[in-house]
Amino acid sequence: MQSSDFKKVFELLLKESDLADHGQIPREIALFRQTNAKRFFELELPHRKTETWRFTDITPLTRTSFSTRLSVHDDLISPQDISGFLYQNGDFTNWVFVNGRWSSRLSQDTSCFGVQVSDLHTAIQNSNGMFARHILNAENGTENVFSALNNALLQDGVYIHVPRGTKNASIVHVLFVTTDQEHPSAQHPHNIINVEDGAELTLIISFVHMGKATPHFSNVRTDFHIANNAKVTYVKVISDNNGGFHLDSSHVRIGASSSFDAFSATLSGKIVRNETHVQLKAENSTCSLNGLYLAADEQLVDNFCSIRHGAPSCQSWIGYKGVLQDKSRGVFLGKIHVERDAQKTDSKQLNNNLLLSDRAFVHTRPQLEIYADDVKCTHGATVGQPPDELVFYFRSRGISPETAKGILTYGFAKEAIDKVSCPAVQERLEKYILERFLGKTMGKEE
Amino acid sequence: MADLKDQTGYIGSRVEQSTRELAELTDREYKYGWVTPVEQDTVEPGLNEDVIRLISAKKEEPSWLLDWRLKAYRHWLTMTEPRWANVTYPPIDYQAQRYYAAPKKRPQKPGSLEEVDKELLKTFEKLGIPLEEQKRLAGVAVDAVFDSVSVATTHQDILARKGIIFCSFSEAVKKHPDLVKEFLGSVVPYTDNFFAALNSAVFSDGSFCYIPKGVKCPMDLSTYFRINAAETGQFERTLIIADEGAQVNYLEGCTAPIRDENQLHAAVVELIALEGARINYATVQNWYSGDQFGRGGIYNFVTKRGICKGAGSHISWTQVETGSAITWKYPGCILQGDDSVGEFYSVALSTKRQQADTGTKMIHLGKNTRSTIISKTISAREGNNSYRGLVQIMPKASNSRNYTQCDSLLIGNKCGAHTFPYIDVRNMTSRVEHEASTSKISEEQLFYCKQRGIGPEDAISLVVNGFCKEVFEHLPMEFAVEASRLLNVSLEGSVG
Repeated sequence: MQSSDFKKVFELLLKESDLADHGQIPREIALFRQTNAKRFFELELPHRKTETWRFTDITPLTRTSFSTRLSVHDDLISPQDISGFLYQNGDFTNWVFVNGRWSSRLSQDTSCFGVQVSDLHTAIQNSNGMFARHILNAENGTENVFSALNNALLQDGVYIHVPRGTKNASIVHVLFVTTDQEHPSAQHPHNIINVEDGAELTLIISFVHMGKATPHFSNVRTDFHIANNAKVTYVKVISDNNGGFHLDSSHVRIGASSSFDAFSATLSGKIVRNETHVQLKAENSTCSLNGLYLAADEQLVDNFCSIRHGAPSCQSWIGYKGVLQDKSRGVFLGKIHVERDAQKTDSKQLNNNLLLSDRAFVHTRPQLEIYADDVKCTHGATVGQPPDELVFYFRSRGISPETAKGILTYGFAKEAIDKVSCPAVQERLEKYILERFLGKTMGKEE
Repeated sequence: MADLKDQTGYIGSRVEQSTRELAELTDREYKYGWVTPVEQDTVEPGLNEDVIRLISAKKEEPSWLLDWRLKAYRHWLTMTEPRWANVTYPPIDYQAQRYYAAPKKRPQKPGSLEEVDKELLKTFEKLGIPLEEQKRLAGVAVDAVFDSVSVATTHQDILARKGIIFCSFSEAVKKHPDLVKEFLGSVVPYTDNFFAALNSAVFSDGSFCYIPKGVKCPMDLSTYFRINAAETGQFERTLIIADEGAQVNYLEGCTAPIRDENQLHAAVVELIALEGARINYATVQNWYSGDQFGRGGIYNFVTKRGICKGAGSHISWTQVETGSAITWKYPGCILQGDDSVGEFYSVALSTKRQQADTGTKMIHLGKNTRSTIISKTISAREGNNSYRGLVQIMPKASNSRNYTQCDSLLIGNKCGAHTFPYIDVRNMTSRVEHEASTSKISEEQLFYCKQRGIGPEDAISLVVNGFCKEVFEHLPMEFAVEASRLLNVSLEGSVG
């Protein structure tokens, strides 16, 4: 299948979604969709010569013939099926999307304290000026062909609004479930998060697939609008199956004296790309982007973080750690851009990779672009395997080399997970890595 | 409280004063900006196959070399100029350049100084490179290249006794065609990139050097490049071959007159180190950099690459880049032999409107190969400086090691410093580390020095020299002194 065919599929899909929404959406949003649809057809699909996609070959994705139907509800899922993925603790409110569409049936108890949550569809129907403005802000980043597609479809997603001064609100957990369908399917969630002055929000978004390794495509776009003196904690966990293509792009705009603390965990998926674009628009804000990516088999994980310092006295931190096994590939691109006026910027960037196989491959590019002089910027990258001395230390105590490597890998990943600011999620991730790196050997050693 | 306020106010004003004084220091003129009035033998501006044939004919080249040039030219026609570097400049009109310029009066016999035009000897003497027998630099053999030709090579006789060949490229083509034929284009093929293809088509002169098996070169070898003619590009080609166990230190220097138009310099340097050989290649690049409005200056688009062919070979690049309006240069090492070592030490300074996009490529192919990259960039006034480097560990390069450090120093708030590292690892037993930092010379540092009676000029020089120390350590003594002096001159008046 050629890439032009790939676009053709979505041409049909766009037509269909136009019909579905005919006349029901506000004019400016309809216009926004049209412009993005045009953009989608104008833009080239990324290829090897596209600088930011150089090492991420998406031909397996563009060669897949996706269903031209809009994905529909799968009523075969029962609340029990997904209960393991939800956070049952009373502090959480769970919103569930099945194949890209909000499921009111599965989203049990959506009443939550302090935050207004709704699905994008409802939000569009009841749209007011502010909502439209936020949608239209999604213009930026449309040089990405997949973002343009997402904007053009504006299918569904979550809309979260945290009013001025809200503190101790419920933690919002949004779960995107995909299920096996007859043909390879695609979902295009579009999330908008709006945090007003002095408000605080903790948001967890997780992606899971229920079923076998059928190919499916998640094309996610998440926009954060963070006002002044606000605080946002965001955790994203991707545990797709091995047929999953996941392209995720987050755009974050941060006001004055606010903080944005994000963690991205990629645990599986065939091709996963996480793009995070942060703009520090006003003084004294901090942004920290942490992540852990684990890849095995022939998986490819690509993390692209870009932070643009547009105002003085902001701090930023990028810290990503990766473990690569088998024939997997890890790609990292970090970009810190300090504009001329952004004096007193303090920025650090670090990417550590553990290569556990001779056929795995790491490509890392921690970049700095600095146009201001009174700044402190550092970056670093490492690639290696657990040092022999450490393995020997374990062996001299009667622990097999496999277990030793497992413990060391667990320790490496654990360091990243310690950065997760939400304890319930941290605990779950920790359990996962323990099982993944030590599950096989633990029983034996005891 | 009021006292404290007064005091800080006082300190503030002192700092201001010191920066102001610094700003008032006038720029020293570019020392090498004069033109030598010699009669020139040039070709008409423009580039086509006839020009290439003419250059080849003027140099009395064998037909295989002309064919090679033509092949390169035809390939060049199919290529587009690279625009990925972080530099901006107006499009270059390749048809407006002259591709050959040589002084008319030239000795028929290479190596005989009596016939060399006195003007030329004076030129090089003025540049600090006396070529006459009695005045020659004692420990260094020099090949002096003036526009498109080599005018003289010193100490050839002493070197010849050891079996070392050190001569101009044209001479090598005539006297040692087999060596040239074997190695020319073996490290940088004409298909490599746009500027390498252009160079392969029109290259004029350069140095050729062969160190035989087991010979340690008794003196440093050096080439001095001088652009003199207007509207002329310099396209030299250097080829250095160190046979098994040989060792050589090679130095390169360059200057050009002050002119308002930009001149193109597209050179190719190829280094070949066979088993156990060692090549140290040092450059102090001081081409005219243009004025503070960005007028004039050299476009320095250079391809330099070395290959560590044999086991245990060693190639070290050291560069001090202070000149040129635009620098586009990535000296690299292909570490093919097991246990081979590649090193890159660089200081790049961009001030006024200079733009530099420079770095290195370390390609690890053999086992236990090691590479070290130390890059120090200094940006001042409206200069922009980018480090761009590739470290690639291929699947068979087990136990390879790379360490990269790139530090940037910013002086003033209109300059920029950027870092674009590319790290590719395909072998699990290898270790790669990369670190980078960006900082500035603060008023506080200057004030601290001033308190201790160190003037602002010396204070900057102190900080900058400390910053670059790790690189200067790898330069031969005379070069290190020269390099540090160059930095001081270029940075004068840049704070404030």
